Amino acid sequence: MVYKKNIQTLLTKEGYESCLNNAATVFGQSSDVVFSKFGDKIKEDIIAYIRSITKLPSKYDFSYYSITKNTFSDLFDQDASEIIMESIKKEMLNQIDFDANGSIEEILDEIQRKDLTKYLKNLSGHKHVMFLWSNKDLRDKIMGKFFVQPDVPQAMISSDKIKLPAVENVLYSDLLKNKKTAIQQELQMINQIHQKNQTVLTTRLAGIDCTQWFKHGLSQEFLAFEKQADSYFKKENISCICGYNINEIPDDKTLKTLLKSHEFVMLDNPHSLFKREI
Amino acid sequence: MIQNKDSSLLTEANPIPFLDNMKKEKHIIMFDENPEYSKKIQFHFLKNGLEKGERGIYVMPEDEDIIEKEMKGYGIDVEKYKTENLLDIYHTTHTSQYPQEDPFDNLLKIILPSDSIKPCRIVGMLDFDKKTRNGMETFLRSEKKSHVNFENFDGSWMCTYSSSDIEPENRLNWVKELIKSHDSVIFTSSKGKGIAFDIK
Repeated sequence: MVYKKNIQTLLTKEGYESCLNNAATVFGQSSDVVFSKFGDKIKEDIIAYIRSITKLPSKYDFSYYSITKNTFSDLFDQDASEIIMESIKKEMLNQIDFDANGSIEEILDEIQRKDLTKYLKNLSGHKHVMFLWSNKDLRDKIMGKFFVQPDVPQAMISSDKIKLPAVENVLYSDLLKNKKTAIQQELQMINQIHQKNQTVLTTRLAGIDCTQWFKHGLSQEFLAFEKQADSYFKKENISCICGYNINEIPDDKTLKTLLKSHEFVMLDNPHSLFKREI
Repeated sequence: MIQNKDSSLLTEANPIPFLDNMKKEKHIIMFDENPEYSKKIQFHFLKNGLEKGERGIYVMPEDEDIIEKEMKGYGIDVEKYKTENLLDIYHTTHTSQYPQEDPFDNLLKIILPSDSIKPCRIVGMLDFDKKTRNGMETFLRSEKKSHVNFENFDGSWMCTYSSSDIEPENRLNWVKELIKSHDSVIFTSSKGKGIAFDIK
């Protein structure tokens, strides 16, 4: 099983970088305002201290919530750290254009959720996105933000019937009735749906939980299919989200193989989007 | 005010409201990068005490007449409080009569009235060489000692030091260690902002 808490580290190792930067920017700028209150000398010293313990690059600008919080706990104490983080939160609330409450982490997640929603709504063609989810409610909400183009063919494969406006729903159980032809059937289905698209807009497709293929003993076949699909989507004006229950991916090796077929990776909690840069 | 998880109150982060919300006597250290703003904070600290009938003592390396004028500008009724024997202003050199003694003891011996029955607020700067490691070690020892003695002191004390005077190579460590010998800390910036919080 892939351990969710390590997923961001693994993605970074595999050459992915976060591409939802608003939250980091808001946090970085708010932290900078608060850090400036310590005076330039002490601020410089704190930055040098953080760099020395984290080996962060010189462009580091306080964009990491947990590092900032832990640094103040270490330098002063936990209560002082909470006061400083509360000051950062106040600055963040001044910078965002929506009402927010809750912790800094929740506000950051809300900023990322809004960014992700915008990204999905405007998703252009030739995008093959791996969606690693662990929470079904969050997953369904995110998927709902993807299917917002009623004028183009849209389809989703799911385990249970899901009703979304203007979205054709296919069940894994139907595709998997005959294991020998299941993968071929999925390819045909994708083709057929895309053929219906007579517009210049992008065909939108999603599989809500591709680990179903693993559960039915078709791991190798599906890994090969993902590779083939990735090439196909590069040529055709299609965008596809391949959802995977992160807790059902058997091991890191399988995950790494899947990553090779997906330029983008999306997470549900916290809302995140990564792009492979290497 | 911010409520933390165990419902105890965490203190306001801005220096002036922080001083206004001070509920008990405190040994405070201020790291100053903006003398003008820091002076406002010092005067506010003294004024809050004077208005409650506490004594106020100001010991800094500055001319007494200028300080009096600045205090008046901040709204402190200097004549009234001096007449009532509640306010004393000293130049730091005034407290250097016994150079062999511990600077903290020396300072108290000279400035603290022997007949005081009122709580006292002191704003002061101990005269140390803070630019060298040896000087900082002596300074730190004295601050540690003063914090231990603070329990027997009836009042609050605000120590003020310029951040840029502190030995730069290990400044953050010195700051960290100095803070441990105080109840609260205030930082001020060149941009006229500041942050304050308690240390447990």
